[in-house]
Amino acid sequence: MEKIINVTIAREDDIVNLVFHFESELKLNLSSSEAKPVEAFFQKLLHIVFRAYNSELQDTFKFQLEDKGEDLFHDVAEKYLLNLNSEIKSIYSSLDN
Amino acid sequence: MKIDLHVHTKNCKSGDTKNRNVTTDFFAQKVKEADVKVLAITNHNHFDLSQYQELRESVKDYCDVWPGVELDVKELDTNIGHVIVVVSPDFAVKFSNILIKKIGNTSCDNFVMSVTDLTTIFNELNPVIIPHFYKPKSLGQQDMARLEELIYNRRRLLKEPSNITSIGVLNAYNHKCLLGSDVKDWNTYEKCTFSEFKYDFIGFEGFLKLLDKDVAYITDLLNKKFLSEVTVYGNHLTKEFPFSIKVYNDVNIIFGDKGSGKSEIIASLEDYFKSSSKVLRYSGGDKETWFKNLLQVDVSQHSFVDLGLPNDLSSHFKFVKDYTDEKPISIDEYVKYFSNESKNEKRKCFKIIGLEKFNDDSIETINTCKNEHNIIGLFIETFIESQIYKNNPEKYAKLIEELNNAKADSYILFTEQWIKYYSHTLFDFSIDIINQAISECIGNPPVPTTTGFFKFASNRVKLLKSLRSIKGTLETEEKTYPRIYIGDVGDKGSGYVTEHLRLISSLNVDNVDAKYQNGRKEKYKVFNKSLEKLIVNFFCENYSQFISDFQATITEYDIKNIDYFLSSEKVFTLNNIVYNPSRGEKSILAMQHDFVSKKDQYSIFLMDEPESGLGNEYIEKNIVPLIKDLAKSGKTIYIATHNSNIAVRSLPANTILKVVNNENYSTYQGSMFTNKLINLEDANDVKEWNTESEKHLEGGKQAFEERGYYYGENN
Repeated sequence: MEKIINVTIAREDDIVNLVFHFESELKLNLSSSEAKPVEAFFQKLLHIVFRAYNSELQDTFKFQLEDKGEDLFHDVAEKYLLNLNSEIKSIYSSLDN
Repeated sequence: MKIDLHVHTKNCKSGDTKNRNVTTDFFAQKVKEADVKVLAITNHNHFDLSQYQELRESVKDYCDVWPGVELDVKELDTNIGHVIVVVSPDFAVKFSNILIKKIGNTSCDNFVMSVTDLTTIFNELNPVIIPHFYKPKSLGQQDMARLEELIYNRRRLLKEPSNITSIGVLNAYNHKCLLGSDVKDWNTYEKCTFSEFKYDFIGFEGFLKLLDKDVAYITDLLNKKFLSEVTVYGNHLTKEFPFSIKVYNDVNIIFGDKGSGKSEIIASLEDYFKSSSKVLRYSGGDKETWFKNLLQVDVSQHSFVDLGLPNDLSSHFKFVKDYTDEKPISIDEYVKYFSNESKNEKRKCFKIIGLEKFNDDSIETINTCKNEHNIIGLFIETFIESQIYKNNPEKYAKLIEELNNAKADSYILFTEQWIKYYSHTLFDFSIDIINQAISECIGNPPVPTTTGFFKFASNRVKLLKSLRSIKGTLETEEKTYPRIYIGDVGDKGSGYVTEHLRLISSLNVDNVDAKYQNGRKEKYKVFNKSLEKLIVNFFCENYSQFISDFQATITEYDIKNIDYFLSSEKVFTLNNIVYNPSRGEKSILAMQHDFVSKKDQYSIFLMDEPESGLGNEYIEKNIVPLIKDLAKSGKTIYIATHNSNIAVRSLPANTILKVVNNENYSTYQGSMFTNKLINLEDANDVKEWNTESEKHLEGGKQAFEERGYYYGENN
């Protein structure tokens, strides 16, 4: 079953996070250029995707941006989520195999 | 050949059992079952000529029946003894007439003959006379002495002891013995113990020649088994002190003084024959090393194939060892692109770069489809070539048609998957190329088309699959090979060696004895623990560290494939229970293993004191028959021995005697059948086989006599 996951942008001073509203929140720092935080984010996301897909209902996710901002981070988040949705779809086939 | 010169076919005396009566048909059946080749009918104080003739005729194709009688004899002593008289079939009628005349109307129970009559009335028929000896109804001492004195030819006097145990002793002490069945119940005739003659003599006359030790006759018989003359050495290593000995395709025995060079002969023969024949050399004694080697395992002789595994997982191990996480695309890429968005208007004309990528990862599916197509094709080809198809192609025409349809379908599936995958890949590639090209043209960063999550995740999933594959393979069920028969441990049962092959995993690392873990028990434990950790903690935050640790383990232990975990174990079992034989039992097993299990692999058997560590009863019951069996199978056997049972009861065609006298070494060669041992360097120096065997094998005449009296008193 496909679940729509709301994603918001939390702008706090210098730090801008993309917040994924799963049962517990998952954050991705949009204002950092470091790879490690993104790796950590991928690790947690993979766990969530894997667990959901292996459940009885075989849940899949699609991310939807809930943000009214018109700044750079909005554009970045929009594009990022577009790509992420596409890749998550591909991952499900990989899990099937 | 089996010979039985003491057979009853009628219940004559009142003490005889009814089961001694036998019909012609049953007689023929039982003689055939027993495989007796020569038989004498010896009823008590009675000879039935017509029955004899009928029985002889009934078995003429496989057994030679001789006329005979068992007489009650007494002259000087008070007790009656039983004496068997056997004559040639040519004299059956004369024999019958003599007995009719002598016995007259006297009943079988009451008839008694004197020794004097016994040794005169049959003389013209050249009889063989066989009194009971050291058994019930033996002639008294005086009567026996009189018989020996009066018999027309001492060579025609044999003695019948109570059992086969006594024969070896009595024979060597110049008592020529022959055991007869004295059959009491024809229902179990084939279970009786029979005397066996080594060589197939022909007819009663041939038998007489053997008794007379007719040298020419015996030599002729022996020479049928002559193999070659071989040069051997007093020192086989330096090739000093050469001399020639005969080798017979039969049993050849060497006995003699300690330190006289018996083992050198065995070693020389091994050197001589090993280039042209398959030689098995066996040395008696401690078999601890032999037993250890029997259970020795060489795991390098095995591979994953032996466990029925399709591959050695080397690709999985390499993948895991070289694994690194795919790096995510930095957020910066996105920021850079959107920071220059005003310059991206022209880029937007290229709609393709805004499309969703396929991220198709199904290359393995294509390979699977291709393999399936090939497998189906191969099966069709193989089946068409098979005999079952060629015998009835019409029956399988429909099956072939269906298989060809499946083959076609699998090809369609393969091409569909191929087209799909490569079109997706090409599409994704096109997006990247065009994106890159635009960037280069307008001097702006390309639009990010991926986050890197797909590659990161799919790579991690592949890693998990490899890890699970390794773990699952390690837990493959153990293989047990068909057990190999080694030998019997007396009456305890049959001993086998069974080999078990397995992979060491977390399931068995603590149960399998460390000695079967190739010195790697700790390594196996560390590896399996790390593997378990990697699988269980797949979603842990510091998973990368677990991967690194595991990779370090693989590198440190130099693990390339699943064969690293192979473990082989051999156990010896008796009646299906793991068993550790005693020292003596190991000797017994070693001999059986070499001579029975390997019999067909070798043509020459060289044995050096095979009796070491074995009891005489075992030697007599098991070793001597084994040696005789090898000889019957056409093998050449040379045995250096101190054991009388082996040297005598194996009925060797050839005997070598080695003697040392003040550092002078002499070699004699001859045969028990000619009773002569001739010095190889001086044909006039001749020793008696009987005397020398008694001296070297029985401990001398006095020891032998004492044993002889012991046997006599007990039997």
